[in-house]
Amino acid sequence: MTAKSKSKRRSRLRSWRFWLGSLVTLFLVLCLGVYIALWRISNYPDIPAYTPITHYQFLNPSDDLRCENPSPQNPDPDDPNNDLMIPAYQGWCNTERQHYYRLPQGTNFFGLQYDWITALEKPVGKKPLITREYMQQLGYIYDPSSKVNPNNPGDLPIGLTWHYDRDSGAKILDVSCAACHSSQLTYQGTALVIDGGAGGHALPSLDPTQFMTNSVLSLTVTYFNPFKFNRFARKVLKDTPEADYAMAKAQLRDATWSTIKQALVYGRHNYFLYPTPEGYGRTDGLGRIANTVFGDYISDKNYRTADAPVNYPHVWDIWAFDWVQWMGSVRQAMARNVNEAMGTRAPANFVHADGLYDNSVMMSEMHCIETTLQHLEPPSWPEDVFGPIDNELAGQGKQIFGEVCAKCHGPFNREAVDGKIDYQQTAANHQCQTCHGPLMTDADGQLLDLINRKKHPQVQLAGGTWLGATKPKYELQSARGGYWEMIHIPLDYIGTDPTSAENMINNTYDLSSVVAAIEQARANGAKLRMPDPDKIPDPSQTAFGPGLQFLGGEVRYKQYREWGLMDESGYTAKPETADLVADLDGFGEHDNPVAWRAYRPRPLEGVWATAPFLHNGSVPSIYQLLLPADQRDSQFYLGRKEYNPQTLGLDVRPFKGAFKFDTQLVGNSNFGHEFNDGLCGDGVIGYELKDRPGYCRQFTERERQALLEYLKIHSDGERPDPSSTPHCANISWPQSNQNEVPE
Amino acid sequence: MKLLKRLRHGFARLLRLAWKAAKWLMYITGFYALLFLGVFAWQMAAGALRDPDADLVDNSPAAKAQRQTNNAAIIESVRQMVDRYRTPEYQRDAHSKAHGCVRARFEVFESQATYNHGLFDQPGHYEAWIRFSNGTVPAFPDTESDARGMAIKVMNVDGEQLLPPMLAGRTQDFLMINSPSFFIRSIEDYRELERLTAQGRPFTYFFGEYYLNPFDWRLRELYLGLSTRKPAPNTPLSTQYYSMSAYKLGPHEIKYSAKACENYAVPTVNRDDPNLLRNSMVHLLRERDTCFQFMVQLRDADSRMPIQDTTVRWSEDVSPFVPIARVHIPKQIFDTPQQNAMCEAMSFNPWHGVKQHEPLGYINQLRRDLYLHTAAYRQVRNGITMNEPTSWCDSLTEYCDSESLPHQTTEPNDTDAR
Repeated sequence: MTAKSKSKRRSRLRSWRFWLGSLVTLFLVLCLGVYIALWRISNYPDIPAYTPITHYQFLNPSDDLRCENPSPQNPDPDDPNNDLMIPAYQGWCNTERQHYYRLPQGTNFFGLQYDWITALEKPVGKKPLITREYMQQLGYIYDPSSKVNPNNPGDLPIGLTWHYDRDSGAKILDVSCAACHSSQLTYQGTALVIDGGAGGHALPSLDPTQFMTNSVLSLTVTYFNPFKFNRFARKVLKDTPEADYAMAKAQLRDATWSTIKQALVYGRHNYFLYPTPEGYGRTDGLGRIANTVFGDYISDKNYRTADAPVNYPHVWDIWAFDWVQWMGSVRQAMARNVNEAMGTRAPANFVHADGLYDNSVMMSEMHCIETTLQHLEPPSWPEDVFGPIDNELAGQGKQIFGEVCAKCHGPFNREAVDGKIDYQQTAANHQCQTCHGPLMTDADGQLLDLINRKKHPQVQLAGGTWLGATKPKYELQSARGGYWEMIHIPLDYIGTDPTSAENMINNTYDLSSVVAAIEQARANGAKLRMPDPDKIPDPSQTAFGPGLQFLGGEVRYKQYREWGLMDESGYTAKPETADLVADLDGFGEHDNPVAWRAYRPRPLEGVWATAPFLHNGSVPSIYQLLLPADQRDSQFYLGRKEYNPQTLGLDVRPFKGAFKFDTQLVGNSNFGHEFNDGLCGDGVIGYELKDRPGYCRQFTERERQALLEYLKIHSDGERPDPSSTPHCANISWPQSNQNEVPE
Repeated sequence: MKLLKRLRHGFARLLRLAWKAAKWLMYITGFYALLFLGVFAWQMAAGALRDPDADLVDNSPAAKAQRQTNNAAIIESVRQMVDRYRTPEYQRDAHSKAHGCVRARFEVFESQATYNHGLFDQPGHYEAWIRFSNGTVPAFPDTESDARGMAIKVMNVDGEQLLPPMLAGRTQDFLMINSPSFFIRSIEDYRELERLTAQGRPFTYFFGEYYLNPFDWRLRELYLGLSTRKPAPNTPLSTQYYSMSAYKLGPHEIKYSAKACENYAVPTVNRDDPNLLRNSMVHLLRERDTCFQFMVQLRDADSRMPIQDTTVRWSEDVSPFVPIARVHIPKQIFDTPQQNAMCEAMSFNPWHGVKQHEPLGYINQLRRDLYLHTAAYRQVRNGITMNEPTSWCDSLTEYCDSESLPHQTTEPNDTDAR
């Protein structure tokens, strides 16, 4: 290198032109990279391919025409062929369906507003972000009965609705129950809408092509791109008079920025917490509730890895259970609902003494949804779509079901067993350290009948008329729920993935800042109670169940107090409102969480429509569920709900944009609940040999087919008649932002 | 001419390139050889110097739960393995090649009060079955190096059994191989090994997925695993067998061992016979009675005698093996189809036993469920029902007739004192 060129280089390093040029180039290259990424997300999202749907169908039409048709084609009342009245489907008319689809529960995703969602454009280009095609690809479901109605002005999927923020009055986007607890199975172009089914979207995913992340991304681009923001503001503020427009636009800009910031904080805290990808149709419910309530709302110290995704459960019989959640850990409907709403980001204040327990959970709406669900029927097998039932085969299946499945899946009549189950003993059995292994035995070495079901009476399958003439008399819960005794099968016996149970049992959370806030509030004169020292001896190491029970309970009692249902103590109902409070709580049960190493088998009516199976969704079809575990798919592909009527499961062959389910990952194990040879227990549930108790064998192919055939038509017996209309009289939605006292 | 020159030139260049490549290959090979030695030395040193149980003992609820999860996964893998190596009967997942089941008398003699617990509480004679086997699955011929197993099932034992009554008989099993230490340290490692074995590639366990990453190597385990493989002894009756894992003996913790009374030899047997161990035993037992000394080694808690880590041999200088019983194998003909079928149907499990001899350690906990499950799996798949026997007669009707029993009149040579 010559001295001349060296000095030339040196002089160049001193030149500001060189530095500016480099910086500008770097900036441009970065911009180009970002632009390409955004363009890709806008145009080629890696999401499941779209299957065109030619025909929608509801299930279980009632025999009589008892519902008003919301959109009659032939409204002429004089014409005998008019369609003013239509049958109910799955026991619901349009009113109930609209309640379920569109009543909010108070969730708030970073302050995203309903009108924004419909006004957002793709990050690149002017096309709207939220289209039917995009959302359907992502597994969201649209209401087939109407495109746009007053409850759904933005043409959004089922379950996406809004509530008004109690302070600011903003119209907040609300993701309600129906978003995750409705499903749609497709089969050769026909779509079956299954109300109360297991949802199939990936709402909590942080993948940039998913709905929630893409919305925030698009909002961010909109914030920084003035042209985009102008168009956005015009759409959002279309009803604002021109005089106020400039101010409203400035406010909108502030609100947008605040949402972006909240979303970034959320992303920073949550990005690494979920190492097992949840994919479509799953979420780590308990883990996310804990991270939101204990982490986001209370303390950064409380974030815990949540690696146990579970299926969205179906909900058509949930109201009849006395224990809910996959682990059977909660015993009260409202407690479950309040915690679920907070976990789905309904904000609540647990750390500031001023306005302690302020929250946005909408309990009257939830109560309406809960009571509406009592009228929902399980889906029945549509023979016109999936083919006819072989009744002879189904008859054989029924016999096998009675011998093998019914001993756990029941259902067990609550009236007959109530008070006869020794919960102390049940708990002891699940804590038992020595009785783990192939055979669960009690202290005397006798074979344990799982949970002292020796005391359960023989349960009549189908035609069990236990409700009939004599209605059981337990306060209100028998008038509206808790008909079925749920049992807990120990983890060592059932052998399915333990991560969910273990996380719930082992994780502890620091609630000392809550205790400090309560002490402060009490010093200021509030009549709030401290945590029960029996359940929470050390607030800095609170277990999941008691912690959530306490926080959710406080939120619940606060609402009841505001409604004037509580006496001076603030925690017991007035005599005249006791019935109403018990009814609101649901089941009339005390809210006592348990954390046993156990999962809860649920009754199986309509189960054919709820694939994939097991609590973690690791088995794609019922056929595979009846096989030895090593013959199940170890990898399969999710993201569309194309049904396979031969296996009563999903079509899980690979396709473009599919989510690959890997059963080797933590929380994804597909072991357990298997029908195999050998000793029963440790995951083998099998067909117990008659001449050798404690030994199991696998099913023959014929037996499997018979069971599949029977499960299509299986019924849990006569469904209890709730004999009440849904308690929806006083719901205020969507007119006001006040939470009214229910009837 | 020019062309030839150019060709020669090109050829020379090619040769230089090849030489260069070969040199590099040699460097890499040499590097890996050194690495191999280094890693091996490091791991052996670590194995010899570390506190063996320190990192293994964890009784937190989470660790217990994790062990149960691992146990379930191991059971699942072993089922797959049993499927994989069926022939066409379902075989054992280990020690599938039997050399035969022989009748034996388990003779407890008077010993010091220290050892008088459980089966050894009182002097007495018990009927027993002994199954000799090769360790590796799928089965090797006897001419190959392998671990040899000896499983004793002592019958008609008094005392409270470890297993629930539905599964328990009145037996006390002793399971041994001819090597004093096992090569797996922890349940996690065991799970990984079984997973890979079920997939038919056990060597991946020792060298990692692509063999090249030295952090995935487990050379100490490989060394211990290979050193359990030994050439065939003269007969299965001529060597010493060890329990490897720890057991209780009343209040004490012990390992046990069975040592052949003498090095019996059968000169007439062909050493290239793939079934030489079975055949040599046939010859030997046709001729004469044989015996084993049954010995126990007490644990000294202050010495390096771990419970969990089964890769560590307990020092016999600190605590020697002490004979407390004798296994007397009478002259007999055992190689009959009925007896061999009975032999395959039987199941041996360290948890077939009385409370005073409870197996210790996590690996023994695993063996309980694993062996119960695989035995039941094998039996149900093969369509056999087999309960724990109470006597020779209970196992095979041909031994019910006391006339046909070759009651030994002559005691074998007393070789207790070594």
